[in-house]
Amino acid sequence: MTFNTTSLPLNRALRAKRLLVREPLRPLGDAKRHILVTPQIDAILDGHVHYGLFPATETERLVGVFAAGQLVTVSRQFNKKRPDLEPIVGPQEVWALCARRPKPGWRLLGRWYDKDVFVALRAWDKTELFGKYPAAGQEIVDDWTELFGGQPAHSGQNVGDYLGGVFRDVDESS
Amino acid sequence: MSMKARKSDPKFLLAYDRGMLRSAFKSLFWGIISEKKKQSGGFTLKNLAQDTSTSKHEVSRWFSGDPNWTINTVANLANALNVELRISAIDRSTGVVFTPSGIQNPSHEKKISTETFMPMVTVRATAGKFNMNPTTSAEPMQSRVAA
Repeated sequence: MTFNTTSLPLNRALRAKRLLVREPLRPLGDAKRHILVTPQIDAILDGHVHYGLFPATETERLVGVFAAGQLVTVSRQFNKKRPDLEPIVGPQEVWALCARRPKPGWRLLGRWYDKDVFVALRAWDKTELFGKYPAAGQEIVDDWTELFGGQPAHSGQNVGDYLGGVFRDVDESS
Repeated sequence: MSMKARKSDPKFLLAYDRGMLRSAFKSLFWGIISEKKKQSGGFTLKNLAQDTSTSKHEVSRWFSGDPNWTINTVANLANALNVELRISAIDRSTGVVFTPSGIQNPSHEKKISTETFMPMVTVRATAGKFNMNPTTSAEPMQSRVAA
């Protein structure tokens, strides 16, 4: 998968390997979306940190589905619909990519650099994150500023402003 | 076990491929449903539930969960959505494309084998009036999933 960007701050972070493109297990010739992760998250997902928990098939599938532009579920209303992606309570534009299996799952917290480009900056065990969302959100904002300076996180009005490809806004009535 | 080891672990890859195939079918049909909803305000999951002889709750659950549909259910969905599924498979090592009626476009094989490709089963859904993928407007929607 190739990921090209003309954005200087992002280019700098990628060149310095402070961010890595998380590749799907089976390479895609034509990725529609991109997940960028810190080396720490990459190591976690690869199983170098929490031996036995990772690598996890379901997490890899979520990465594969996301990159392929396939169906991901999204909620922006803090409900119990268990989406793949949701903003977290607290500082603006901090989102969680939710790897829900095996339970209780993990949350990759980050922000959108651009439409279809999610930058995951911290990985949390769901049970440890409970009750710490505002602080964890602020941590992401701080990490972002440290990495990209004044570059604002991408924001939008609708789910389609964040994601191309196929998605389901689970807040919409069907 | 590291990712490198997992990538060469047949069981891990099989579980991943199974999950990706389930996801691809789900994504294919949701893409069609989304487009139908946009083009026809009256189209609802309730309609689809009726046409597939199931409940709206079950249909909704399919598209927010991880359904492991039988081929009959896949056919029911395609029928209800009025799309034709076209199935092909690409050999991971050679790039040769297989269809239910044999090898596809043999003269094209050399070109395919020199490109970077994802070995896969390909399922295409075609329908007459609506374009399901805005990035490939001239082509039918194509869902590429690992075999």
